[in-house]
Amino acid sequence: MTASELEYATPDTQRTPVVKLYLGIGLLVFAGLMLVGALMRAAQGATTISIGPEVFYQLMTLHGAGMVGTAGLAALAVNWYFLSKYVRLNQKIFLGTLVLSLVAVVMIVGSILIGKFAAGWTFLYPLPATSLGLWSKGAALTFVGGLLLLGVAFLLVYLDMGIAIVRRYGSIARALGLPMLFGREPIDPTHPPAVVASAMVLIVNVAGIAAGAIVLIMTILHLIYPPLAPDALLMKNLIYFFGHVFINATIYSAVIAVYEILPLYARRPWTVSRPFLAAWLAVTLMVLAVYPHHLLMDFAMPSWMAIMGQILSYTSGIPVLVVTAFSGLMLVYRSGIRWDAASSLLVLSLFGWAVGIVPAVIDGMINVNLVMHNTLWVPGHFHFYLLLGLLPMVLGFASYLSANGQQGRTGRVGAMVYAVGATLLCLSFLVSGALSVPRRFAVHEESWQWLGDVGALSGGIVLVGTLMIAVPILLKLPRARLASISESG
Amino acid sequence: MSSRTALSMALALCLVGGLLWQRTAGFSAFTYETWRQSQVVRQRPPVSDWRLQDDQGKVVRLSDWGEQVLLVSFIFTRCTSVCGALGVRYRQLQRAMEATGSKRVRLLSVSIDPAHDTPERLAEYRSRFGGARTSWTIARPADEQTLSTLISETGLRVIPDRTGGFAHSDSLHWIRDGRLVRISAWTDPALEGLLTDAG
Amino acid sequence: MPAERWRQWPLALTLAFCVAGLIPVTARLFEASMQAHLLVQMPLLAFCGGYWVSRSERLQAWLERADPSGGVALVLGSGWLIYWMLPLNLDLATFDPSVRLLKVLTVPVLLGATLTWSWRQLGPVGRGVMLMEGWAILVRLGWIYLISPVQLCSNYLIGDQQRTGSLLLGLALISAALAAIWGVFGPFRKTDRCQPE
Ligand code: HEM
Ligand SMILES: [Cu+2]
Repeated sequence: MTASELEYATPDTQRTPVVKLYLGIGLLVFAGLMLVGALMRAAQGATTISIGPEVFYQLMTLHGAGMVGTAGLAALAVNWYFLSKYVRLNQKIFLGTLVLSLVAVVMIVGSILIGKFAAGWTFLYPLPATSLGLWSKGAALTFVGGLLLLGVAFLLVYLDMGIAIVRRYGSIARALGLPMLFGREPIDPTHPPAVVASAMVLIVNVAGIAAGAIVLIMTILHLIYPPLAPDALLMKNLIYFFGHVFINATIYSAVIAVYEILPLYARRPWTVSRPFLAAWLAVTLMVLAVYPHHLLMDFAMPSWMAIMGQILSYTSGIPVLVVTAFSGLMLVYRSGIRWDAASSLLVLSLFGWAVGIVPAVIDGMINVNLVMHNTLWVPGHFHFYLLLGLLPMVLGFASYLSANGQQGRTGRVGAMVYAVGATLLCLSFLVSGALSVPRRFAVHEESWQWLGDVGALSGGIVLVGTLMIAVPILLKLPRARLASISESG
Repeated sequence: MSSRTALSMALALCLVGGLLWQRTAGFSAFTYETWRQSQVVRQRPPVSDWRLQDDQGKVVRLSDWGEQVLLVSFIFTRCTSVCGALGVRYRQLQRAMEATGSKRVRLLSVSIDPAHDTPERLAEYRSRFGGARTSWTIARPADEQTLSTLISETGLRVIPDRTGGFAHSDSLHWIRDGRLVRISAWTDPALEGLLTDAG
Repeated sequence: MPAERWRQWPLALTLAFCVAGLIPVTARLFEASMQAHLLVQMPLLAFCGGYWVSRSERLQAWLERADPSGGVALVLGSGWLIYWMLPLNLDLATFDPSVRLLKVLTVPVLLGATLTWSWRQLGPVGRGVMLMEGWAILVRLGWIYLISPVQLCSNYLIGDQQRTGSLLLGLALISAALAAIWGVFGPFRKTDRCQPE
């Protein structure tokens, strides 16, 4: 690294402490919420435990909101850590985001466990205001207020990241590599993929937060003054824009771990190329426009939007996935890579992401969607992404950060256990979906219940695998000192 | 952030919060109409002895009703929107009063368009709903002076709309013993209770 | 900052202030419609205060001592913004002389001047949050005015209210497009390091 580059980087001592906090909290919460997920699946199986529908929907709201929020925080930690290598970020703001998020989490969890709020993490308007006595107006307000606070927290850190990027690279467009892509500037092989990905995440998430700032306040106003009733379809559009973009962006943040860590194993650099930049530009635009695939069943939506949603669903994940998976394989191929916890998890994540595309594309077809959208096919598709794509990236990063990836046999076995459990769990969802088992049903018919039990069991396996990887990390994390590139070989 | 800054920010927050609290009657009134309701409950402002002319041309005064609770609504006969609903509502309340034989409450519709709403037009307004005169009086201010007095005493806002009519409040004003004691929405279910309440 | 400052600014400021709030003829004209009241008169009054802050060095020196971080100003300014967004206050200001006076005197100082000062003192992140929130206010307010089933201001017809809502939403749309372009391709000036082309 040259002197002028160092000048821009965040000082090394400031890069790790807060990231460790994020990861520590994130891993703990992930494990806890996995237990909640397994409980839900067990309840759907009905042979081991039974919980009332009211509790089921509280747990579902807790699991959904908690997982999405935690995924956001964990992916942010990956993003922040690697971006801070290239631009000077403000550690205090990063910490502030965490603190505000934790306050938000307290509000959200409180509204669910104490206030019995159970309208799902999508708080689909006007459900929060029509609780039929299950939860109070105050509980709904607290939940929505918590989400609003979460949005503000993320906005702070994204603004800081954006400003730092602009300071070094001149503009977000330049960080995204547009001048290089369109031939206005020569391809700069040292332009970091992490910066390209960060620029994309910034663009889509700030747009998503803007939509959130509106739809959340409108929900609050409707709660306070019910006659003020905004158009439900418009609200749904905004909610899905906000929610979809947010959860979608997590994988594009977390993939930075692959870009940054795999090259260390392969001892080959990961350089930007024109196809790489084109893929990231395409995905920036697509992620912003793909959300209507959540609304394919709303016949009142203009059909061009449904068609756009369909086409983009086919294609949206693909560009970045292809360049990433392809370059990832090329990188690893015959590099004499060392297979430890971190490297296996990262390669697993590429596999999971690639295969996860298939159910997504199938569900994105309007005709299929009309039949499938409310089946467990959908949780099958997104758990695939999240459990086999996002989480391995986060776990691999945590392993690398705390133990330099070397977690011995336990780590390797843990990664195996995790992969098997997660695949089984996703299959239990997908098979259920193919059998037309509805999603978001607290009670399942008898003929579906064995799938619930399989799901619960595999959820348990996932949890075991996660703990095998995460517990040693958590124990080491407080004292871990990261080896620099040259030491890691 | 220094503790001084934090303290002054907290103070500033209290200041604007307090002002908001004060103006909105404890974060309950955000529009003029709801604000007026909260003010009246608190202050029970006196009203003067309005001079009105009813749909038979007879002059009536507020004091004629004595102890009874008078529900006053403001209308104009050309109105194509809420005044019709108000008439239906009054007829409904009147039926309830007739059924129970209660004499506690009396109804009064006052025109805010006295120049146009002659006693004949007021009588025509009544005929649309078919209510008896005994418990429901329909009247117009007997003179310009009364019109402006009753507008200022109730805090009513009347503004001309683009079709030659008026946009006006559809609330019911409860007047008793020369005081405005409450303003409620015409849909308020508490009105039924008022009719039958003994006290 | 230009070296030579326009010397006549206090005069211009006073003039603008008088036109916006003090001269009954023009003030009434602004208040006659909701659009003009909310989108012309109020911003003009706020602008007077903001302009004063950005021009008067004496005032700046005082503020530097009183509120160096701009935090107090931010709290006061946003609180006062909410205060005057209430339909109730907009309404009262059109016919209650004391409220009208309150508006004319405090909006420049407690809204325009405070928000300008906090903008000057805040870092880029704080400014970003202010911009985003300001934009979101445009959308929310516009949307509310457009769909409210009741006439929110008893002094403005519901049609007037809906027109104001559409105007606010239009403004929001335009500013969103501009902000997106500026945010992605901006800031259109040389930053620390721009490689020579
Ligand atoms: C052991 C691991 C997990 C298990 C057993 C599990 C189980 C479940 C179950 C049973 C549901 C409800 C399905 C339905 O009937 O509709 C669900 C929903 C969901 N899960 Fe998971 N899950 C796991 C991990 C994750 C992870 C890692 C994430 C995200 C990072 C996640 C995000 C979600 C979301 C967003 C929902 C949707 C909730 C809703 O429909 O409102 N889950 N999960
Ligand atoms: Cu009317």
